[in-house]
Amino acid sequence: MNNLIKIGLSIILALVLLTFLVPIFWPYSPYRQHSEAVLKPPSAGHWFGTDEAGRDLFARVSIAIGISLSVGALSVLIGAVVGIPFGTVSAFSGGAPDILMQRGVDIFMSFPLLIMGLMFIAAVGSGLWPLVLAIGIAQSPRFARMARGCTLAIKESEFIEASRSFGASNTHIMYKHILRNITGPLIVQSVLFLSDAIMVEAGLSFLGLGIQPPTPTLGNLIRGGVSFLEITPWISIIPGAFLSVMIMGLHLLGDGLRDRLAPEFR
Amino acid sequence: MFGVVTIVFSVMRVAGGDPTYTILGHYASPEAQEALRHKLGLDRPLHVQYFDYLRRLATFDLGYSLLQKVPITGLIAYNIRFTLELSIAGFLVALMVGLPLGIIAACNPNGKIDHLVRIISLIFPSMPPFYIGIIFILTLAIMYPLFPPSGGGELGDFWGRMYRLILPAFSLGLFVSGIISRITRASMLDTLKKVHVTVARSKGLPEFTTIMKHVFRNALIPIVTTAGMLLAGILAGTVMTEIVFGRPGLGKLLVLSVNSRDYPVVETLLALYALIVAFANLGVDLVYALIDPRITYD
Repeated sequence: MNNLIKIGLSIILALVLLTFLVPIFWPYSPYRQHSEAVLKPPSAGHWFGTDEAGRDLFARVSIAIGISLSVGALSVLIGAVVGIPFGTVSAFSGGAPDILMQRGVDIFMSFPLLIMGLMFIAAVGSGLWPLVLAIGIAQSPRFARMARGCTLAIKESEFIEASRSFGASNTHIMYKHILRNITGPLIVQSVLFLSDAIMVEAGLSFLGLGIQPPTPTLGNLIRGGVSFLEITPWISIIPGAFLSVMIMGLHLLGDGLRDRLAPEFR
Repeated sequence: MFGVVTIVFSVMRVAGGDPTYTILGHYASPEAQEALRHKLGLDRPLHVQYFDYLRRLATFDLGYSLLQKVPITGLIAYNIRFTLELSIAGFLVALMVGLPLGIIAACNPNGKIDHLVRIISLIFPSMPPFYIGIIFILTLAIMYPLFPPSGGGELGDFWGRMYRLILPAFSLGLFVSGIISRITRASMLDTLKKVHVTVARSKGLPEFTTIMKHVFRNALIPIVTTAGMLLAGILAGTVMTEIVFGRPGLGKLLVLSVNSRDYPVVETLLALYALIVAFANLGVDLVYALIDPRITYD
């Protein structure tokens, strides 16, 4: 494992550990409001201080990390499940269906992720599941495009031809051979898409359109602190720092994986 | 473009909620709702609504904002200035910071600057632009009050607006500059290895000229491609930056209208964003033609 992977993975694992272990050992709940300790600076008791409702920030940040990661992971899963078959089938069919589907993908790709997410949230409403769906569907064109590219690359290979001469059906070929060979670039891209998904989730929550308080997510924690920047800046700064570190870790991991698994993408 | 409008329309109409709630409030009686729906034309068959939408678009009749009850065209005309300023300024900042850093880093591989640049290009794209903005506000507007933390400035006051542009443009631009410097560096490194560079150097050209004229020009192609994609990202970034800095603009308008289910505005804005992205991509293609004489368009 090269250095990048090591660093990236350690960051992510550290964050995951944090989000799982803290609720077990930490005395404060992320939701309980301590009205006597509102807007307190970091101290021995409350390591990150408290927010405007007296909730302990350390607990909230820890949970928020987990939530952001899960939302990101779920949406990437949705994107993959929707997008990959689409792209593979499109590439396999070739000709007119391919062009038609690709036009569709092009149209969706022209929107930045955030805007697409906005569009879906506008239609469906805010909250956890609409958010996951929104980001997931917004990601599927990218997966489709990637799957199509990889499929095209190996479609004409000899072992596929060999398989066909055995009488293998198209579906069979797609399943066994193509999917197996896509996994390398797939993993790399998934990690990078995950970081994008987390960024978009944070953005949407920051705008008030994603997950609503009191459920903490890194985005809406930052949002909560904005009104208090002058007196208690850490409410925004700390979650933001964790968010940046998480995204950075994912980038490092993705780059490291790419160097190992799919170097042709450099 | 046409396809985009169709998609925007279908998403909003098919999955969207019922705007009569917004207008009349939650306690409206069903009869009032029916009446309003009829007035807005929402109870006509879907394809009729679609063609009506297209027809009105063609004549720039964008309709009225449900929330603010003013013509949408006016809203857009006012806000688009601010958003365009921000996008262009942000893009320029990204280029002005990213390109030189990338070039310098490529020319001194593994030197101190190179390491610095690589670290920067790792950190900045990991920090969401609104976070960078918040940090800026904290340091430069609150702790050391150098810049006003919010507002877009009056329309007539050019320098005031420029002044207010600086922080937002930088928060948006720095995020993107990380990506640009990375691509620039990679692309330059690739080009530097190519044969014609050695040729140019052996001609005795001063190093600066070699780099600028030969290496950079040829390295530009991947940079321009990425820049095209980044434009869309910058547009998305304006949404967040406008909210953070309290600037008026299309982004803020979009968020406001999504929150209040102000569908006409949302539809229009989304279509507008798509249009801008389409134009930006066109611009990128044109720039391609400019910098690479081998590419012609039939």
